[in-house]
Amino acid sequence: MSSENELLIENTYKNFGNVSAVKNFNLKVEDNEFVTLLGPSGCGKTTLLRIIAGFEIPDSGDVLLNGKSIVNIPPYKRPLNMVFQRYALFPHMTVYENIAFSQFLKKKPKEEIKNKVKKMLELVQLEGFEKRKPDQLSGGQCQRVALVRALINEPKVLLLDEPLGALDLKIRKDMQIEIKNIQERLKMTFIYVTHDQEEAMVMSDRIVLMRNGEIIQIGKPKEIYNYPNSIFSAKFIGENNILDGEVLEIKNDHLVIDINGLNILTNKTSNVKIRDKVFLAIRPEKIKRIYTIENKSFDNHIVGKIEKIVFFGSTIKYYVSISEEIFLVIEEKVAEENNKHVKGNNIGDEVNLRFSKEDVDIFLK
Amino acid sequence: MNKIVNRRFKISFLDIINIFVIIFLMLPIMVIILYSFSSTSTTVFPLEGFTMKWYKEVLENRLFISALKNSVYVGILVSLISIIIGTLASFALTRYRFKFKNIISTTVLFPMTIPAIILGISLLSFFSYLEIPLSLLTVIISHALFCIPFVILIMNSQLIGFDVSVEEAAMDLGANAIQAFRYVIFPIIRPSLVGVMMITFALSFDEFLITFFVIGRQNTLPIIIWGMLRRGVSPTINVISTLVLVISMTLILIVNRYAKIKTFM
Amino acid sequence: MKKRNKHIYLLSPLYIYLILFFFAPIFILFIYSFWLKSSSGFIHTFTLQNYIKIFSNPLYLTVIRNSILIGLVTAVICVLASYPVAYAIAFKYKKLQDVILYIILISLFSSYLVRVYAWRIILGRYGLINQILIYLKLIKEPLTFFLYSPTSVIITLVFILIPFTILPIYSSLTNISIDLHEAAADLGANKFKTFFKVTLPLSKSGVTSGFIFSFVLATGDYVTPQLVGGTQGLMIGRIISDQFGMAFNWPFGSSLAYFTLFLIVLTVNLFIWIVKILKIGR
Repeated sequence: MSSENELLIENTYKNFGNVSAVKNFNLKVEDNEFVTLLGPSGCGKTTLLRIIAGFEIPDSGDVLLNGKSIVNIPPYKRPLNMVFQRYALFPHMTVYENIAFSQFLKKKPKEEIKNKVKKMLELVQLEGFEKRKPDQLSGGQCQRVALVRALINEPKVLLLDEPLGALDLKIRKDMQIEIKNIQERLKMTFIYVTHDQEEAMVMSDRIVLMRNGEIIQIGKPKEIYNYPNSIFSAKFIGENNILDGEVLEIKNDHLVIDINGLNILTNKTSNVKIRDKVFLAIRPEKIKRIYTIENKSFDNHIVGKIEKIVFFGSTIKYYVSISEEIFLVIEEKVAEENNKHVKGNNIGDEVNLRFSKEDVDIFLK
Repeated sequence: MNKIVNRRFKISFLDIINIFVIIFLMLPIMVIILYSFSSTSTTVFPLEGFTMKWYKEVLENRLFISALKNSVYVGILVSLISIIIGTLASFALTRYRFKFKNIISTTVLFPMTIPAIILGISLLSFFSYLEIPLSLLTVIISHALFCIPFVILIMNSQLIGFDVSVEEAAMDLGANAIQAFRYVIFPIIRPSLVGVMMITFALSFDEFLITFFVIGRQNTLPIIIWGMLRRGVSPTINVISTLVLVISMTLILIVNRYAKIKTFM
Repeated sequence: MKKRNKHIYLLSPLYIYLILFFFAPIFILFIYSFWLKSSSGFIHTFTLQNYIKIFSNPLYLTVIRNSILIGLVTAVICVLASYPVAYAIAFKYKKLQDVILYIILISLFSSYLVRVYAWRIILGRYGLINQILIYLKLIKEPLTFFLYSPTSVIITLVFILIPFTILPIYSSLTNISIDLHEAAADLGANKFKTFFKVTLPLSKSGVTSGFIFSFVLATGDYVTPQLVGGTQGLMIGRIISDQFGMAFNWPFGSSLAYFTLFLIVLTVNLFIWIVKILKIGR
């Protein structure tokens, strides 16, 4: 994988009036990579995608494809294609005409167009739908047509702007896998925009987490999940127990953090001083329920009361109160449960919790 | 069961008002059409005899035929001019954000809201001040003036609902501005354009008061009708009126066919 | 889709057209109103004499007052009669909706001149109403009270202009969702309360624009008073137009037009102000 289809975004800024939508943005997207721009609405991810597609012109900065700037090339001449949020199919054209549109504009011979469209329809299992109009298709089918309408043009990079946002949860899950498979099969670069962190985790090679037009963190899904670099990352990606505290002691190999009178041990980080206000983040699945206190490898031991139990199918969540102000969520695989008679499995039961200091992420306020 | 039946046949106060209003809306039209076939030369009740002779008389009347031609000519040019100017403006008003947009959107509607008589004498003063001879051209200019706001109003309501991303998709797939318009935007807005064209034609076709001031020696149909009305009742007025009504109604039928009228309001 | 001032190109034909054929003409008319008429043509001067003349002869003020009164009465009747129709089309007649709208549109787009003329046939001395009544032997002599009078002008104007009030009210009513009605009913409002607290306030914009439309069109009307008004129903449109015709006193006609326009704008703004003050439904 050389730098064949390398997309480079350099020092890009974009303002709308007084609102800055994209700030000092730098990103390198490799060939065949599936990169997701993830963030809450208004974080500038769609604006950035539209800058890449050519629908917005950045105030400053550059977008380079294989080392050549494309900022001044109009959208219709850019070797990139886009899948739009609400499909944006041409309502007056059939499925066939929609997919063939770019090839028709390129004045490709009819026979060639026909073969290509056929291949595309096979790719998304829509054979036989050629003559239908968009209003005769379901949402999922519309999205498939929109996808291949862009793919038929063999773009160097495919841009997808929340393409699954309008679909039902079930179809969305299927389409996530389908899109990922197509990307792997065609060996294409995809830049995908979504606000759904789960979707980003499932599909992406790399996630670019954004907030207020800036990059917060870039990394593989696993990296961002396991090593969030900020309280924002910790909150936005996956579920986390966030605790609000103050540094009480700095020991040789750990810190002691005071959370409303509850002491929690964490790994040592170099940049904290005593009395610093901090946030702690602990993943629900890292907290274990124990029945006897024996294993010393767990550094934090807490006693709490089960307030609520929610069953999710393969997992189960316990909402545990530690004190008046502190609540923790614990997630377990269902297989581990099932003993109703065991103490600590019912609402109101007291439970002993433990988690190691390595599992606590600490962020300065 | 009883209750259901009762409900179905219950006529409320609301229904009575509605029936009354609708009867009175249709009444004048019905009267004109009916009496255009009357064999007597005055309007008498009950209707006496049925004849087509007034129709024959009208269709052989040179004055009527030339006025009809003029009206159609004016109507076509007015609808073309106002559709081009109005649709372009509507694109600007619905697609772009710019300073004073609200003020501009209301200002463009002025020619529609000012009383026709004032518009008529203003244009007359203007043409005479610049020594522009009155002709069908001045009529066309004047009609387009009050038709443009109608086009803008109707096209705005259509274009606001237009999904811009469809146009962007076309550009993204390789269409330049002209191709995007030709293959995507135009086919989508074509029904609205046909509708607006018919409506502006009908507005121009029926316009009397402004025309009255700015027309030269030639005549349009309303001017002829006015002349006859001033001279007194003649059965041929009913015939001409019926023909004018039929033309207007046909246009509305076409509009409804191409673009659902309801979506215009 | 922000592209450097592209809207200017799209709007420039309209700007040019409006400046050339709308703003320039009404400005020239304004200039005329300060000129004077002489036997040989117009004297290019600047004088307020034409405006003073309006106040010197009670005929002009009376006709202007009558025109505005006729306009107001017409507009009020139009709104009162249109509201139930618009309401029924929007909420009651689901199946008949299209048919009624279609009838209204036919009426709106069928020749205005022809419709006024038809009302003369209906209302005239030897018109259909009188003939029918005589035929039915209910009267011996033709009735004249609804003929060649302000009443006949108002009757005719109402039926000519009613589509202009029904449509805006209908369109403002369709913007009120049924949910809102149901929500109001759910919260315990009865039909009348729902109407006065929810429906009417939300349709205020339609009522306002319908009122303004019919008022302006009625006040400035020329054809109706001529055909059904007689001398009693004389309106300002006729007097203005005569200055541009027989009297050939364009400067005076212009000043009359501007004075009337001023009063119309004043009345419209007064109406808008009253609507605001009343705070219907609060």
